[in-house]
Amino acid sequence: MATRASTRELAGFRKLVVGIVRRNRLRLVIWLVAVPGVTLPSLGAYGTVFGTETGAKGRALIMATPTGTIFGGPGYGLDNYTMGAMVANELLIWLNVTIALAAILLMVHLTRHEEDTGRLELVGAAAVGRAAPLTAALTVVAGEVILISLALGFGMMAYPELAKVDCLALGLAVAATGLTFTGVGAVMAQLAWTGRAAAGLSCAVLGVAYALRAVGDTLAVQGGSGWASWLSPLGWAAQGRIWVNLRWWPLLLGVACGAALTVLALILAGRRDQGAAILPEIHGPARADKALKQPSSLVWRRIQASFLAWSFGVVAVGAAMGPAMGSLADYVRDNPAMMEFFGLDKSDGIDPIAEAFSGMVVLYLAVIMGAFGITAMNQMHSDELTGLVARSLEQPVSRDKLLGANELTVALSTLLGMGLGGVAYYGAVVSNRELDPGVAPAVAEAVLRSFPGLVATVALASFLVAVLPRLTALSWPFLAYPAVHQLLSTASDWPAWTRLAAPLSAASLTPGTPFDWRASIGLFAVAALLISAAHQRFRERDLLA
Amino acid sequence: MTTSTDNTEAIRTEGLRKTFGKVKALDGLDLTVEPGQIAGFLGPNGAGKSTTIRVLLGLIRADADSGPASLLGLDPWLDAVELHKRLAYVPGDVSLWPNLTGGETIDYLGSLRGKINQKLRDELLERFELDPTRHNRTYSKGNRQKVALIAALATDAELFLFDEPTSGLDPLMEAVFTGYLAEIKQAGRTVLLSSHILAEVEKTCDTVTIIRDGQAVETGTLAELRHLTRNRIEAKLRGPSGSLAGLVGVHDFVADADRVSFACDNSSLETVMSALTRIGIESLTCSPPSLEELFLSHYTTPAPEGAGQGEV
Ligand SMILES: Nc1ncnc2c1ncn2[C@@H]1O[C@H](COP(=O)(O)OP(=O)(O)OP(=O)(O)O)[C@@H](O)[C@H]1O
Ligand SMILES: [Mg+2]
Repeated sequence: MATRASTRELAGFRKLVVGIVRRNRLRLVIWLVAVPGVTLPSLGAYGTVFGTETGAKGRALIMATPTGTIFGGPGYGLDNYTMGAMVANELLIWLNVTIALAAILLMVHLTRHEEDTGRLELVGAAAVGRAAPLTAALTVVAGEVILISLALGFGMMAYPELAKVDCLALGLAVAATGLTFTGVGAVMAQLAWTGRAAAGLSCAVLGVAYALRAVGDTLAVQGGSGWASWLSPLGWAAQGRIWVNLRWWPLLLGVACGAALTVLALILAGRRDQGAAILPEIHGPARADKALKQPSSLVWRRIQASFLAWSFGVVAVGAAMGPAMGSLADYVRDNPAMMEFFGLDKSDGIDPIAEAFSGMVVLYLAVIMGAFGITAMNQMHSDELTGLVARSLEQPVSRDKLLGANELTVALSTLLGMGLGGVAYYGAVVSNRELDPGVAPAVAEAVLRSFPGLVATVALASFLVAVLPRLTALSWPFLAYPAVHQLLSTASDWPAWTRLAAPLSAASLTPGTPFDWRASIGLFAVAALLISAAHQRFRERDLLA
Repeated sequence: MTTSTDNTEAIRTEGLRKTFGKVKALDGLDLTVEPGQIAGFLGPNGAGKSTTIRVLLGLIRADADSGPASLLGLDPWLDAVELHKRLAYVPGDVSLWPNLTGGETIDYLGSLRGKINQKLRDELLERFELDPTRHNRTYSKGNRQKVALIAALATDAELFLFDEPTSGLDPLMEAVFTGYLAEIKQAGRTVLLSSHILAEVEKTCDTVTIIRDGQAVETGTLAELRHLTRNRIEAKLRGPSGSLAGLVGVHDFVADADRVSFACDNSSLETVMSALTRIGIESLTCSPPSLEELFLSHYTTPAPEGAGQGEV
């Protein structure tokens, strides 16, 4: 009886799996190619940049600071910092965050999102068991996670410095995290009201897991108790001590946790109606606030949550970079490759190093806020496709006003976020006693230097939304370019004009270098041109939907 | 250029064209709606109804070689902002900002116009039984539809454009909407109502335009349109039906003992009736063609040559 009931529950399972894979093949292939494809070739950097003994020692010194612990791991093997120990201590956490995000996004897309769009109802009406859709989605995502992990594990075996058994252990660690967050995504898809909420809640779990691990590891490094790390799936992976003193059982915790969450999700799915949620619905105001009566205030409402998340990110990064600066300056001074990378020479004291480093930190803060600006501007594009832009233009609102409201709100909030990140970094630098107080104004200057580039970034995104709406993704290479430029231009002697190819690299952000007012004015001019072309076109063209 | 508002049509298009790539969505559409009229706008799926309304709203632009369109004497593309202060629109598939509540959405849309009648807003919320504190993302399709309907009906617009406004509404709510349509008509305001619900159109509309493949194939008052088709006659006769079946204008004749049933052209009604009287009538029902029959004939048969109203 029980078996008959359960076969019926799963009726249509195989067809569903095939259907999901077919409909989402591009999405699945991109994750599968991108994660190993970006990771594996870049591993070489650990071998070359930090391969020398002094290099490894310097690196270990940084990783022993709170900043190193927060962005890396608990620092197993720092006393003999081999390539394997570096990968486990510095890269593993980011592989885990990536696989967790992949698992969450895929899981929510395949479950709750299908429900939101009503597609699941079509499926449910066909000859399909009640548990089949969720089980099929779980199977596909778990399969994807395992494939990515296998590719990583076996791919790393190509490096002779990395012991093969530990490569497999790394694959298992990534798979365990992926499976845990597949389970988290599946459970949240049952609890939340919508796909967006499910993805948001799952990411919040990921954030808490990250914070617990960071706090636990930091306390442990300072000789305290690291029990908080043991509450976090991201902590278990690090506790495997891969390439240092491998132990398997912490890695299996993640697999067990994933299995338990999967069972929980299936039980919850059986208890709720389709389209319903288990968490109670939160009601909102019956009347609009007086503030909500302009397109710009609506744009702000649309991007507010993402603004808070991104600016929390820059503030955290900014604050965390301050304490690292002292040991970093020492390390850079001892490392000729690094001196060259920052364009410094031996006679420079701590200040030029701090300035060069600040230029880099501010660039990263700017890239983070630039990413916010692009997603916020692209929100208008997805709103156009879902008919929300039409909803405003059906009212007495001109196209110029609507597009302008988006540009202005996005640009101002991008600059505000950059300002907050800059203040956090400035505060961290000021409170760092190892540094000359004279560094602080230089930091403030660097933050201001990033503004024209950020404005141009938003203008570029606006141009794409209005003029080339099919190609809005083109903003991203422009955003990523400065990092690539910085890595490669000194090493391979790129001509100076190559920095003009993207907004955030066009003007040097490094305080102490002469202020490039021509580039800054140029950026504002380009921004003005892009925006006027955007308005020109948006006034003329048909709405997409 | 702009004539005085008294003698302009509320909506007028002549030879309206709109092409999407190779698809001719509108292929010389003529549409006229007089002020104060409730005009039904009908046609099979893909006929071009929504496209027409989107052109009239200035969301998309008619082809360069298109004939003119005007609303309230204004150009829907050039004068969009001015025009939107005076009209209200409800689409058939309403998307709404997911993180706003229904109440906030109604107020926001209202404030873009400048003012909103608070008393009417609250009355509408009650009549449509909508909880304004729920977030848009949690509303069902019907409830999202209500948000848009309330936002539109609470305005003082002169002209309403409705594109399948009741899709997803339950019959009770549809009746509430029909009630408001009557009030709109009473107040002398104008409505263009695209709908697939024929009973709704039959009940509320003064005139009807049927379009197909981007052209108007039939326009007129309901009475005029009925005239174009046949009445259905069923009778119980006192004598043999005799030569009745052979009369001009009689179709689909069926006799069963003393009962006859047939369709009759409007033009032959008089001769047929006198023939029936001569035989002797025990009972008789004569039903005018339903709108449904009228449509089915337009929706299913290929459009007759030259059926379009205007010369294209
Ligand atoms: N943005 C677009 N791109 C391409 N083709 C379009 C677009 N919008 C409409 N069409 C095409 O134009 C034609 C008319 O579509 P329209 O939506 O106006 O029909 P409709 O009369 O409203 O139909 P329905 O009763 O189904 O709502 C269809 O063939 C449709 O596919
Ligand atoms: Mg339509």
